[in-house]
Parts: sequence; C-alpha cells; structure tokens
Amino acid sequence: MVTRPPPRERLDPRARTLWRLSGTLQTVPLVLAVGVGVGVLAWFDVVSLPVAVVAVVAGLVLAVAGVAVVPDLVWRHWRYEIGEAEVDLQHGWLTVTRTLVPMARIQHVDTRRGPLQRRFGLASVVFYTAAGASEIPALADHVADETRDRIAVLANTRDDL
Amino acid sequence: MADGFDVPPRRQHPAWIVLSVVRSLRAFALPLVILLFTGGREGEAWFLAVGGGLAAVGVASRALAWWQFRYEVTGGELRVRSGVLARQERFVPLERIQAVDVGETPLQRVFGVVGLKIETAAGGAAGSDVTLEALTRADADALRARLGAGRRGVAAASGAVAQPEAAVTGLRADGGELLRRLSMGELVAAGATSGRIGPALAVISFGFQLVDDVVPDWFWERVAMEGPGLSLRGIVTAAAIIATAAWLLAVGSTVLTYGGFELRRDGDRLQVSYGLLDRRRSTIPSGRVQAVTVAEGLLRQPFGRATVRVESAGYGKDTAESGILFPFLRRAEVSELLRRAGLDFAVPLDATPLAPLPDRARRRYAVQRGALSLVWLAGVLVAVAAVVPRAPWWWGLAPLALVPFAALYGVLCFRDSGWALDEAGRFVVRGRAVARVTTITAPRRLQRREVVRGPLQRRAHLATLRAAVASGGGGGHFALVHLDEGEAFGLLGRLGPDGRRGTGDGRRT
Repeated sequence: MVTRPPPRERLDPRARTLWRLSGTLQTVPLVLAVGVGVGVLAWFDVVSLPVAVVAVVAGLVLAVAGVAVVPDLVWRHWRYEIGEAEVDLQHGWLTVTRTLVPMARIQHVDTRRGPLQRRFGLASVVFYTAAGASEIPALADHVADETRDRIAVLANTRDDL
Repeated sequence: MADGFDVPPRRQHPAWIVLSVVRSLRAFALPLVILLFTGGREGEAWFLAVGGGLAAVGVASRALAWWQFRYEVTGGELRVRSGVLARQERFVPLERIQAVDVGETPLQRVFGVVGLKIETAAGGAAGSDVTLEALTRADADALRARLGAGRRGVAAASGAVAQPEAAVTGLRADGGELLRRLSMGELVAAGATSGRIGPALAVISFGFQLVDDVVPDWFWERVAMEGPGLSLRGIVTAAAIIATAAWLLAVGSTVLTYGGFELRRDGDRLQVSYGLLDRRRSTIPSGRVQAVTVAEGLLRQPFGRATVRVESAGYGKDTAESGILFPFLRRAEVSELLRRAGLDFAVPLDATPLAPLPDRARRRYAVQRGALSLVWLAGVLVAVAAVVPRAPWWWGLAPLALVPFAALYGVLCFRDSGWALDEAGRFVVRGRAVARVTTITAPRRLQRREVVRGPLQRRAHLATLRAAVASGGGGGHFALVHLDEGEAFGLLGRLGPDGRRGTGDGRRT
C-alpha cells in the first residue's frame, strides 16, 4: 500500500540511553512531588491509606515504564535520509509522521549539543526553512557534523528561490 | 546600488512619544476605568500621587526611548538602533525586505505623521519586522523611495523591467493600474455577512457593565418594580435588540476598516489600500506571494461571495486584515482578478474538478469533526451534574441532542474537502473549518510536506497530508485529513522536486 520505502538511516543507538537518563532526570522530581503530595493527603486523612499506596505505586509503574520503554520505541521508529533533493524524515510509533523538506527550501542548518548530549558524544541537526525548523535529534558527533555539512552543501547548490 | 542615495541616521518625529504613551495607556484602559469608578474617596490623594508619579516616569522613559531610536540606510542595509538600557542594533539587508506598509491612524493624522511597517523575510519571528510609527510624510517618502529602489535594483538585476517610482505622498493609492475597487454596496454587504459579531457583542457587554457601574442601584430597583418583569417576551426582545446592535456594530466596523478598498497593480507589485479612520496601504511584490486562499464564510457562501488573501513570507497573522487581497468578491470573479494581478494562482475555481476523499472517510468526519466533541462535553456535564446537588445527572446529556447537527456538519466538511494538481503545476486544496477555504499554491512553493498516520487511520489505510508554505507567523499551513494512504504518499512524491521534474513546473522566477 505504502508506495515509498522508509528512509534508511537510524539515529545513534546511544540515543536510547541518553533519553532514558534525561527522562529519569525529568521524572524523578515529578514522582517525588506526587509521592509527597499523596503522603500529606493520607497523613491528614483526606484519602485513605490503601488509596494513597495504590496511587503512588501506579504512578511509579507508569513512570518506570515510560522511562524504560518509550525511548526504545521512539528510537526504533525514527528514520532519516539526506537525499540529493530532499531531507526525508519518519518518526512516531502510534502516530507515524513522514516529513519531506526540499533542499532548495533550507535556509540554514545547525548542530546542537546540550550538556547531556555532550557527555554521550551526541548532537542534533536542526535545519530551518521559511516555514519553521525540523530536527534530527540524536546523531553521533561526527555523523552530525557530516550531515550538517552535506545539507549545507546541497541546500546551497539547489538554491532557486 | 548607489551609496550616494543613502538615508543618513534620523530620529522619528517627536509625536512618537505621544503615540507610544497612548498605546501603553490603551493596554491599561480597563484597569484605569475600573479604578476611576471604584477608587475609594479617602485614598484619592494618595492614589493620584502614585498614578501621577508612574505616569511621569512612563512619559520620561518613552521620551528617552524616542531619543535613542535611530534609523538609517547605508551599505545596502536598513539599520535601526534602539533601546535605552539594552542597546539593540538591527541590520536588514534591503533585498530581504518583503513588503512595506504605510498606515495612518486618526491620532497620527493629528500630528501629520504616518507609520511605516517593514516586513522582512525572517518568517515572522517576534520582532523581525521593523516598525517606524511616526515619520513625517517627507521622511516616509524618502525612506520608501530608498527601500523601493533597493528592491528594484534587485529586480532589474534579475531581468525585470524597472518601474518609475510613483509619487507616494498620499495614502490614497496612486500609480499603477486600478484592478478592482470595493463598491459601497459590497462594503455594506461585506459588513452584514462578516463574522465580526463576536467582538461587537464583547463591546456591547462591556458597555452594559459600564452602564451598570455608573447607574445607581435605586434605578434598577425601580425598573424591576415598575417594569414588565422578567417575562419570556422581555428576554427575547432584549436578545433581539442586542443581536441587532451587534450586527450594526459589525457592519460599522467593517465599513471603517475596509472603506475605500482599492487593489492596484504596478508592474510586479500589488498595492492594497483601505480604511476610513485608520488608513492603510501595503505593497506586495507579486513574486513573493506563496499561496492564495479563498475563504467563503458561512454567511457568504450562499451568496457566492468570498474573501481573498495572499500568503507572503513577510506577513504574520498580527491582525485580521494582514495579507488581505480583496475582502469581498464574487467567487466567479476571483480567478479573473488573480490573473489580472499577475499572480500564478489564477485557477478557475468552479471549472477545476477536485479529487474527493475516499468514501470511508465520511464516517470519520461525521464522528470526529462533529459528534465526538459533543460526547466529551456530555461526559463532562454529567460528571458536573453528578457532583452538583439537586441537579439530576442526566441533565448533562443535553448536548447529545445536537449530535445529528454535528454529524451533518462533519459530513459537510467531508464533502467540501478535496484537492487538485493541474497541468500548469498548481496545487489546490479545499477544506472547511467554519468557512470553506480553498488554498491555491504551487508545489515549488512548499517548504515542507508531511504524511501523518494515526493508529486508527493506519487500520483504515487513511492518512493526513500536511504542507506548509513560507509565511510570517503561524499561517501558511494547510492539510487534507483522511486521504487514501496510497494517494497521500503518491501526492507526497509528486509535490516534491523529483516528482514535478518535466511536468512544466521547471520555470524559475
């Protein structure tokens, strides 16, 4: 049914570990806050103890599942390909999004490294058109640099605006 | 580009201070009015002192800002320096300027100044446009001539014929060929069918609140005692009066906004000028137009009338009027007007057959667009009613009565959706939110194309095609929801640089 084969390249495998770590860093304070909140409510008998325990455990299970499983799913469904004429992206597990950006429309391209990304030797490639930016989120440093340069060269030679 | 034609560093007219103070006052209008009416008697002196002090500081800071703001044209750039504490310098290359708008509000008229808004190609990122709010006409003309010369220099270099600069002293359109003027009858009809009743209602309700605050309570009590009481007829009459007033306000505001609307063509530039109180005039280079949208509002569609807008890299969605090409036009006239305007998008609307969505999308439209939101609403209301004492929970089911209408609306959305890709390489997409909107663009104008498939869509082999053209602000996006999956991917390819090779769309501008 689908006429177009998916893009070939995958993100760097270390992206999964990176996302697990950043997910944990974001989730832990949240889980703690919820735990403390429910604890206070239980202490003052606003909710009964079993309800509180169930709520905290459910929250914990959800958080762990999210941090452990989601990065893997995201990584497995992220594909990209830098073609001669277009950048081809596909991502999403439940909702699958296929994006095509013509080289001729790309105005400039950046690599970005956040503090965590630097630890892992990873970088994002971000490219801008007159209708907004798109991102390839986690590539190995040298791959990101090559990708950025390749997009920059192709975007320049195909400039017919 | 001749450097001898530079504009030396200049300040704006001092009237800028007044305009800027008035603008900030407008933002505080509501709190001020409330304070004036409710301000305690005993605290009055204190209140006035603090208010006066704040006002003095405000005016002084505006004056400083005026003193620090300077613009100049040099080295092929417009340079603007501003900021009192944090100095800011903005350099805009002249060839990056997308459009120059001139405007004049009644207050600006008092001081004999005009406002200039310079739209840049920075995609509408906040603060990417340069606004000069108070220029004397002479300064505005000099700057416009210089900016226009920059643009023509570029145009001439790419082989276009240079146009002689028309005199730009007035805000009335001048120079070029008059394409279409909005007649008085059309103006009133536009107001009568505009969707502006909402804002008008807000104005009226604010007026009522004000009256309520000012009129003493004993008056209302007397009215309640001697008046006809709260009868059904009274309510209906009041509602009718309010609705009529809102409608008249809507007509009035449309007449003020679009009065004297003219569309002119001057070579490869389009000029739009309109407004009775706030006189505005914008210049759009026709080569920069990315897409044309034709919107047929609910009240206008039955009469075959539509609003035509252009999507241009410079224009954001800052006001309802931005990018307007013609506010009220017979649908049958649209393509002829676009052709005479020299735009590539002159698709005959009624003679272009649109490919419909697959039949299996109909049910989805009926459910998702129409009925589902009502079911959610009913769910929430049932929950609320269950909590509120003495309200039976089934009261919450009331919205379900509207489900058939919602489903009908969904089916209408389905029937109005469609697309076409003609031999001349023009891509037409039609859809409906409230108004029926037809977007006309060219594949080479598309900045990004997407096929999105949700889990339910994948099971039914349906997909949503989304595309975006260059646009200031959030505009320029359009979508076809629930296309056949194969068709969506086919279109995704055909709209790309590889797909359209050899289809006659290889020409460059």
